Amino acid sequence: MMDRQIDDNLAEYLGDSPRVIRIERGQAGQVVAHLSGADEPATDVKLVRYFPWSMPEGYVSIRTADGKELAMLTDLDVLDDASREVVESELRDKAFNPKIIRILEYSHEFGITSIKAETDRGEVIFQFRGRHAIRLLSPTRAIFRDVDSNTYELPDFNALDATSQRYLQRYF
Amino acid sequence: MGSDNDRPLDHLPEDLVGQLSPEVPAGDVVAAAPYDIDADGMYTEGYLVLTADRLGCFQRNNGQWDTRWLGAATIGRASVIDGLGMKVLRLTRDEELLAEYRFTLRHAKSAARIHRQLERIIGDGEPGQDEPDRPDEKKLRCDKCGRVIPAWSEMCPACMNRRKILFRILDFGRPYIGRAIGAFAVALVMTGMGVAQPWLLRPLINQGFGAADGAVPDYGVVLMFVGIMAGLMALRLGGQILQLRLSLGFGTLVSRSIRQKLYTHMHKLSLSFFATRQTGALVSRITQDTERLWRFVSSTVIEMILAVLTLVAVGVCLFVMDWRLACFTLLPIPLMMFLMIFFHKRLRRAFRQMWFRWEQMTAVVADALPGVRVIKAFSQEQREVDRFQQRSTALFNEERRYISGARSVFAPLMLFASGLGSIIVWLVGGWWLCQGQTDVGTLMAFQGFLAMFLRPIHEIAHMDEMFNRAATSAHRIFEVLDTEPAIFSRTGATKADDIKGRIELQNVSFSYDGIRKVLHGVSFKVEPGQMIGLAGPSGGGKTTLVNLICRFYDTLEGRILVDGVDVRDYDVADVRRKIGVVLQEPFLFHGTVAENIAYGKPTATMDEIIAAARAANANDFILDFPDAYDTIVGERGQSLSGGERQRISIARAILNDPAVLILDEATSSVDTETEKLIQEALERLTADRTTVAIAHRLSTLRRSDRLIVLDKGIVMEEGTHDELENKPGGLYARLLSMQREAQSAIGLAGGVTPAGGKPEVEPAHGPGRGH
Repeated sequence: MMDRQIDDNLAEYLGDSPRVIRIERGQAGQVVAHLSGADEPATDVKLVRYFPWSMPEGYVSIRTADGKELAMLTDLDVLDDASREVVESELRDKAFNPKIIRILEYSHEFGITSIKAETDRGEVIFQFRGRHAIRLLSPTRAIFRDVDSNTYELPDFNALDATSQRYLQRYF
Repeated sequence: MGSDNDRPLDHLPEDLVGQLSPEVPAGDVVAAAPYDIDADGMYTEGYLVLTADRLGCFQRNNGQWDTRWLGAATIGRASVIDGLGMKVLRLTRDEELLAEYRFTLRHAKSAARIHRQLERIIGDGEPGQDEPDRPDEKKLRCDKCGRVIPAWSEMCPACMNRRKILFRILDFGRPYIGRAIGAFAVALVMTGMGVAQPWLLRPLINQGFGAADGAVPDYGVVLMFVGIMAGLMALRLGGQILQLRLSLGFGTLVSRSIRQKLYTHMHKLSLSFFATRQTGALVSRITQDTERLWRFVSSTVIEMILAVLTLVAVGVCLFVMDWRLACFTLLPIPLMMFLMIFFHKRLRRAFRQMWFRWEQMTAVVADALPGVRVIKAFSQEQREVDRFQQRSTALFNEERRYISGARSVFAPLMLFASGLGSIIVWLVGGWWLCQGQTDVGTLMAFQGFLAMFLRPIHEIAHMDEMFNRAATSAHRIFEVLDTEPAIFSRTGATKADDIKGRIELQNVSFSYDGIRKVLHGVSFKVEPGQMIGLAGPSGGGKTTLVNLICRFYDTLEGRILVDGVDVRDYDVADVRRKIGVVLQEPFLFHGTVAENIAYGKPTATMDEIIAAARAANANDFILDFPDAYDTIVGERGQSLSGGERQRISIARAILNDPAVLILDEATSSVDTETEKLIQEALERLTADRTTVAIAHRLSTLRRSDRLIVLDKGIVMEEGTHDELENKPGGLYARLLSMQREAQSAIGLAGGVTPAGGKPEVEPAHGPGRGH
């Protein structure tokens, strides 16, 4: 998948992470992880992306409900199809970051910017203030963080229609 | 925020309330929360409504409400899962999933509230009192229109009634109303005199210079009119001085009373008020906003009235003098108005754009300079320079656009437009003059009047902005003044005069944000004179507990008793006077060492101050300072090391003689000798006093009568040091052995924390006097 080089002096810190054997759903829909070196499967684990924005495809931490790391999954390809499906569906299910497709309305009043947007999750109106609300991940990709800390991703500024681009020009 | 507590149905759409009301009386609803993500992860509109015995779920579907009721008795467990950008409320029963509801973070607070009530119903069989109102916390959205409230404001700028607000400011001026009326009267007379000046030009030129038909120059007439003009000028000089004195004086009086009232009120508000706001914003409210009001009250109001009066008066004069010429002369006025409105908008927009780039550039500087040590250590100077240059260029480009666009065109165009008036007078008036229909004096007077037009027009064009600005400032001030303190003394509050110091916590829970609980059902007792050590990892809730005992905040659930009486029943100031606090990073005010020691007891005598300093082992180092007890400390004063600050703070507490002592021990390492001195001082301080110590030092831990080990807001262990030390598998035993390892590894005697979990080994700031 990606080149995973590591300096020798650092390698030992990653070496002792248990291997993921299988991941499945429990009865109540919780995630159950079978890990190497453990007799019992870990029930009700939480999956957390290490790099939710810069590398959303790989790097998943498998943690207990109260936040202790059990294992690290760098590459989902090592999993069998069923496990992989569980991981992907769980990550999708427990993350909500709509991707902006089109800007429908834009207004700025009293230092608060309000945007009505069409996203892959439906239409939404959100408000943000100040420069901290916009994070550029690349010259054309950005995340807006609204006043409630919800995030909205703009995957590619250049892919927007002309009207939407005009609204957002100032941030790029 | 408080209102959703009292009337949970208020935030539901009307048609849903209508559907609910026949079967569920509003009084039965314990909590309601909107949820906005459906099972497929798409936006939706849904609501949860909780009564004492069931949970209703309503999701909008083509104008109908899809309804589902769940009996509370069938729910075995309710949990909230934190996702990325969302919360999930999961209801299960014996390994079986009953339902999941998904919320964006906008509704996190109401989700947490409904979750808390659900847990209570599942646990105790009935809902409980939830979350105390904190009216002085900053609101995120306007209650009326739902707009987000800007950081600089207290209330929705769109909903505020500007006129009402401005009248409220003037209300502050009522005691000084005489000055205001005087200033206005003088201003009125002055306007009249101002208009008279050009009017006099006509007879001066026509009769005095002999420009009219059949007239001959007459120096006597010239002298007379020049004399009148000079007299008027002298009168205006005097009038202007008088008017400014009156109006500026009126403004200062008003702004003084607002400023003082504001600051006094701010100090009545509780910690949650300050915790949800930036200090800078509060400072500017007292300084900038009152200054702006001063300007508004003392000059803007009068200038506005004068501008309108002048325009009307000049207009009337023009028409009376020669109505035909006046019609032509006034032609450019609409053009000027249009230019102002047109450019005003454009300039504002361009300016905002520029401001945005400017902020981005400032951010780079503000970020880099405090970290200059790290930049140098990793030799990343070039990267920082590049980052700055990129932002600086972006700003430059924006500025260039601004300058070449509206900025460089606006002012010259305005001058041109106002010059048009003169041209018209010469052109049209000149034609009539040649026809013998008018005279030179009239034309000259017209020119004089035209010169008086520009300023009032400019002022009226900016009137909206001026009023808005003042109204905004006024609003920011009034919102603070109208904020009720969250922590206040109840009427008939108990006096706390002879508190012995018995403290009891009964099932105390707390949350700062109403979403995440930081204390869960904490209970313990401290007898008078006892010392309790609070230990546990950082983030365990130790500082929060201390905040509650001092009553900086009120509990979410449960109560705190001091000498058997609920702390909320005491007079706040009274009970705080009986509680002494020694913080780990004590704050020193700008002032002398002696003043800082006597901060809590300004009446202390010199002897008392010295005695307290001696007891705190601070006397010796204080005498080493250049001005001994008169040395200035605090900002820009003598810098003190951590150990010295701590001892000053101990002296402060000893002097104050509190019944209950809160000790937030420092985690930073000090040398062995200093450590010993501090220990001694602490022993003197805590003797015979009820002490609750956030304990990091082994010596304190050992000396405590009892230790309470907190982790994630839950009391994990309780007992004496010896008991807990030997408890197999105990959290405290583990922390302790970690501390000992750390100590032997680093070779420090007693500074490193077992409890704080932050080993303070910072090579850059060793002990000793900083800087």
